[in-house]
Amino acid sequence: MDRTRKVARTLVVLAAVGGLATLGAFSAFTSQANNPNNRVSSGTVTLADNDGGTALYDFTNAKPGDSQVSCIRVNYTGSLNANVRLYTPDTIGALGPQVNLKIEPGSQASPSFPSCTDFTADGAAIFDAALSTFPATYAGGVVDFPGATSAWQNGNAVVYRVTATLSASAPDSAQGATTGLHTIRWEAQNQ
Amino acid sequence: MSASSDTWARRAGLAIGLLLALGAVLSWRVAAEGATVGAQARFLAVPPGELTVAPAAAFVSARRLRAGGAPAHGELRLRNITGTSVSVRLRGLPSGRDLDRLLRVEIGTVYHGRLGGLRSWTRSFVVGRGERRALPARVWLPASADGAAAGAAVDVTVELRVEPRRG
Repeated sequence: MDRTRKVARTLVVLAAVGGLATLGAFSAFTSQANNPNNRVSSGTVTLADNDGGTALYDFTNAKPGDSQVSCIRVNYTGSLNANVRLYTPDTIGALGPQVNLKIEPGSQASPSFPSCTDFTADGAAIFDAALSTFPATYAGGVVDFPGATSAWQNGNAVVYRVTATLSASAPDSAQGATTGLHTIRWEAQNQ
Repeated sequence: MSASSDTWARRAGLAIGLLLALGAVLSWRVAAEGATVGAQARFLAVPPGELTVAPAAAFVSARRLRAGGAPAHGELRLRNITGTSVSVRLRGLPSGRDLDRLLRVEIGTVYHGRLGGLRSWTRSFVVGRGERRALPARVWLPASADGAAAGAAVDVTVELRVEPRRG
């Protein structure tokens, strides 16, 4: 094979390969717009207390003027900012109007339920009225925030001093009556 | 062109081609790394209502754990603020599973084993009314982990389940 033919065949092969590559390149033109790393992770609302399942007050055989005082620490460890309201989900019995319930927010250097040693109130009581008027729903609940804030945030804690008193002026008709067992509930809902 | 010069031209072309190919391979090679990167692990406890927990930040923070290397130490301090003795269990929820089988964890006498085993509640221990309890914690990578944990990072949320003890 002479040199001219060699060169001609080489050029033919190069042209064929080049043509195929060109076709491939043009046929592969693409364009993409990606929005990566999508995800949904829910937050948490977690409220807890230190009562260990023990009641704040439990009177038996009470007489007018008797009172019990306990302090409970409520702490928030949720990831979402929250509102906290107090209410009772239970129906209060006939003695309810004769029992005064006082709830004061504050702090305590070394809380230990139900002790109120070294309790320091933070402003006025958030509730100070007859137990029978204590809210029965979250919607109507007593609102409280830690200190001067407007949201409960992870790590917040408030100590509440709860005082229950059988009225000194309870009438004779209150003898042998009861409020019934009832829960004082702190409920958090995310903002 | 003479036969001799043609031969030399071919050899020169081959040599240049080989050099270009070698240069391309070397330039595209991914640099070796990772063998000297340690694993990271942080343990953070969430306080339940019945106990105060310290420190508020991570109680173990290991930045450069290496297989067969020194363990990272910490201490989880609890205080019972209820009016009764409580029974406490704990578990750890790691942010990923990369180190579940590799990382070893020791928390007081309550748990000793692989990180993955800490996903289940441990046996319980009692903290008396008002009592303080310090749980020394130790985290390490055994030599058998080799380089498998290199570069891995995990955050472990330690939850405490508290039940009052009656009677």
